[in-house]
Amino acid sequence: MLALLGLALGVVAGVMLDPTVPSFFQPYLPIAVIAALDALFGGLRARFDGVFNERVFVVSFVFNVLVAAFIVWLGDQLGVGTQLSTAVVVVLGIRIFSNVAAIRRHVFRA
Amino acid sequence: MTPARPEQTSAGDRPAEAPARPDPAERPTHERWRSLLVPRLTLGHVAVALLCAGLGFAVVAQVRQTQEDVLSGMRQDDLVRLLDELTQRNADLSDEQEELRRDLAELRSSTTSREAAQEAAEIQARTRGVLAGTLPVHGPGIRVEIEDPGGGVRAQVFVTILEELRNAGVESVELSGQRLTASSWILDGPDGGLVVDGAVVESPYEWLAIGDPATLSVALDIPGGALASVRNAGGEVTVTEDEDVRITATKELTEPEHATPVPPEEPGG
Repeated sequence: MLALLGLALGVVAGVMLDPTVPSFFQPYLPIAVIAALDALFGGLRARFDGVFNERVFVVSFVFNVLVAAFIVWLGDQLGVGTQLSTAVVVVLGIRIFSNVAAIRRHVFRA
Repeated sequence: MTPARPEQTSAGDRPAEAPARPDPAERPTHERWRSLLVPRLTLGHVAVALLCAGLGFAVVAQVRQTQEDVLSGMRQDDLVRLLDELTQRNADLSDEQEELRRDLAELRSSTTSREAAQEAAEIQARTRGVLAGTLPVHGPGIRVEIEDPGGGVRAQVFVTILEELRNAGVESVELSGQRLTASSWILDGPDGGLVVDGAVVESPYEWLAIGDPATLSVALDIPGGALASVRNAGGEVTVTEDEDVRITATKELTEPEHATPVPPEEPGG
């Protein structure tokens, strides 16, 4: 409930404040958002599996975001930033899909 | 991952206010849904909520950013590549524009020259029509009426009149409804009268000639000239100068059977 509330609050704050992304973060923010979404769906799935743990969730959330941003940053330094961010998005997208599939089985039993 | 798998449970995950619950593996899903919505104010939940709030904020910020300006979210190498592509495309389009412009100029000049050629051809056709007798014409000239009830005026006299008219610069001649051109001929008719280009004409004869009226009438009227010989042969002649003589008779041209034009000499050949 609190998590849902927090999500709604964040969206509302974003809409109200109309933030400008600093140019330094611009390449990393989309990847970080994807990573955070992955962590969120992972947490939801764990909740349905009955293995949810706040500590695990917080750590995995933060770590996912940092690692994703770091990979992209590293890619930029190596000159393969575009390709590496594509790779990260693909991997995270696959994970999100499998997590959502697990959640779907719990919810619809199908 | 499969729902048939026995669910692992963790103590911290279970809501405290539902102690009468049976074995967790048999808990129906809708109860688990409901347990999601029960607010619990622990440090961990607050942290989760904060992270979720940050995620929502970031998503909105990113979406705004993307909608605002596509280019600002791109990497430097991507921008450089994009710029390169744009420059390349720009150059291609410039080339194409120049080519099209050249084509347009060519087409325009060819149209102009074709129009000029067509105009020249029309003028030529008009001139030749007048000369060959295929066009009805009008203009200043003279009218010569010859009455010859006695039949004494022979074809030779008429040929002389035609020669005199030509010497005086006549441009178009008609004799009693027959257009006279370079290939015309005049013969004595079998029963008196004349045969002009195959048609029989009889007295009174009427000449229509287009040219300078004064020159023509003077040329015919010289002493011992054409008109004098008509009078000598017993005919009566009236010459009238007219500002607008109309020659409506035309002549059908036949395709030349033997003569063909010589092709123009090629330069250097």
